[in-house]
Amino acid sequence: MYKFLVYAAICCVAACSQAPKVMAKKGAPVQISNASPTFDSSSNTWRTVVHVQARTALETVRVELSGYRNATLVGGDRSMQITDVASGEIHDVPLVIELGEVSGYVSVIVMTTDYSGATRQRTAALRIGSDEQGSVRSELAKPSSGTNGESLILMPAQTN
Amino acid sequence: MRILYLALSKSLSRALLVALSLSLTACGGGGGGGSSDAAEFLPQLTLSGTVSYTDFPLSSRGIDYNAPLNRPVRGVVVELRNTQDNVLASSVTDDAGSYRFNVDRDTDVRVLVRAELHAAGSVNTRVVDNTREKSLYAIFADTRIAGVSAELNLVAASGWGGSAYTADRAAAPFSILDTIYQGQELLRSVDPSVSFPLLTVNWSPDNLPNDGDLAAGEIGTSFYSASELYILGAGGLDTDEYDDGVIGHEWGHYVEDTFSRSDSVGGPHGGGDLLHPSLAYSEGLATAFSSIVRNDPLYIDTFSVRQSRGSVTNVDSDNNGDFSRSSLGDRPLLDGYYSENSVMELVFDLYDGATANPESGDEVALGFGPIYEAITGGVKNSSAFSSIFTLLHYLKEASPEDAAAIDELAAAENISAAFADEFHDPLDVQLTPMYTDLSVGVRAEVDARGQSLQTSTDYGPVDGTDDGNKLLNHRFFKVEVEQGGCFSVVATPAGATPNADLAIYFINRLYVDRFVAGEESTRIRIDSGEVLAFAVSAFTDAAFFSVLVDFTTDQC
Repeated sequence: MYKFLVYAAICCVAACSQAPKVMAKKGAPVQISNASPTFDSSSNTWRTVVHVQARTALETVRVELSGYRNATLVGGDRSMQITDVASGEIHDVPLVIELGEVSGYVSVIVMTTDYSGATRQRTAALRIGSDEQGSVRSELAKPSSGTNGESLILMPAQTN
Repeated sequence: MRILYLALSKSLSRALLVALSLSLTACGGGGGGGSSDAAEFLPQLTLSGTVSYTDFPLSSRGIDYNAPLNRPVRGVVVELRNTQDNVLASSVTDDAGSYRFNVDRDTDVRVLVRAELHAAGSVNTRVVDNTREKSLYAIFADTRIAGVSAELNLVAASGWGGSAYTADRAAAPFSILDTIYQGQELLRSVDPSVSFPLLTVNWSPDNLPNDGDLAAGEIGTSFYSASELYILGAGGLDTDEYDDGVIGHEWGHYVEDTFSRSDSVGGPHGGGDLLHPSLAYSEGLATAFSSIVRNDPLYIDTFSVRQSRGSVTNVDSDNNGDFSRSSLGDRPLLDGYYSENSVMELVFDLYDGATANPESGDEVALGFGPIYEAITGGVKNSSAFSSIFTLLHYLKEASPEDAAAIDELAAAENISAAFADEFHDPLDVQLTPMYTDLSVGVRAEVDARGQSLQTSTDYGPVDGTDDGNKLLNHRFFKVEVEQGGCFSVVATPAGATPNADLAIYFINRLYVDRFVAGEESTRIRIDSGEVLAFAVSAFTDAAFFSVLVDFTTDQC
């Protein structure tokens, strides 16, 4: 019971918080980001640069890129592998993307091997194009409201 | 389950049947519908069947869609609805996925299966779509209750079309629920009265690995936070509904958060990282828990095009080896109290032998009961930050006859438990001991090894908004108070970093931070004879600081 007494008694002379924390699944020690995409009206394509930054020293870093949900890569490397990567090191991959709709994604898969031989992966979907997320939503059953107003996503079952 | 059909009595006239009001009863749930005198004279038809979902085996080659498995949907709510969509009766599927209703003949009905786990009279887990106003997933089938046939088996299909998902992924929410159901059964096996507070699982085919708006599916990765799970659904890139190791791991965080206590600071992590000890403990415990739940030492996370790759971790093998971080030269081994792999392997080794095979040299087979008792008892109420030390301390306290064997297992993970208390190993020879002991009224400027107090970024960075979650990003302190009262706790930047932006953490994720450079302080009431533990972190690189805990006449 002691700890609860302590909590109650802490005086917030500074900002106090008990913010919820995010407990994520494990992943490769890299950070994936990209430069703000720009539209090239002459070629009707989008351009961006994907940044892959190592958070720790790694023996190998393999990066695989592809178009995802309405996007096609039309320029830039689809994959690269780097060895003996220092902590904090950043690698850039310039890309040219063609969109079938107003927005799409670039799929990034990074697989790492550390010096103990352990492998890990991290994935990312980087948004390209308009901010309208709806255009790249999957097609599936829409919510419907029942007689009690409850919203359900009804999917037909197979029967036998 | 085969159903015994009731033959329609020849003595009943068609006219009488039509006149009957619907009369329903449910097995396990609330009944519905009216009754009439006439109904009592007529045998009702039993509408029954099973609910199942399509599952798939996993391996390092990802999901094997060529080997579908039909698994029962257990413990979920099934409703019988009429054509006006009114709920006539509800039930809960049993361990075989079976349900049963009694219903009058010649009735058009809908059987609707809600993606909800139900136990002890209430729903405890729901799978909703966070991108569609948190609507609840459900599958349904319509049928007419007539003649002799009253069996209706429902299958939640995967929606897999051979090279991509091409239809509704109805199996996904039920695959997630099945892992959670197994977890609940494990807890009930050691604590029959356990009650599960509501957990909302957010899954959507639009849950993508990019950070942003959760309601738009930009969830970053699968995670647990504040009684909610968010699970990836990005087919062809990273989708986790069949990755039962991942689901079990995230549900393990729910268990720790709900029934024990987590002091983890959260954030990105992996098996080869040297982590904040509470984070390493939380993540390692969650992965071991996932394997205990599923009775499977393999944790597989599938990804890539057609889900054709799987990252495999065997919790019952040595994942770190005897490696250190080579880029850092003469540095700690990867194994230790700061490694989630070490915690994972140790907890599973402590457990196994009861149902899974222990390896040679593993003389401990505690099973899950003692681990559950420790995490919901001593660890939950400890004055120490949660770590593998707190778990080991309370396990040994409950099973002193196993203490030597537990110490041996821990030593194999480079965790010295023999002389450790619930806080740490005070004789740590590899690193400075996890905690620095303080005396009331004495400002501390050096740690147990006499080195200036400072946070470190040797094992992971910090920046202006993130004070890190790796080893030595946070430094730990404890002080025992002889005479209780109100005390001030002060962390002051020092040496070469006079403008460091510090934060002070207490157990149970409570922290104090003004978000500006300079001293941090707070006041806290401590009872006589109690030990106060706290940690200091910095949002600036490798900050030097001093700490002081002192009695104050101010009010707490």
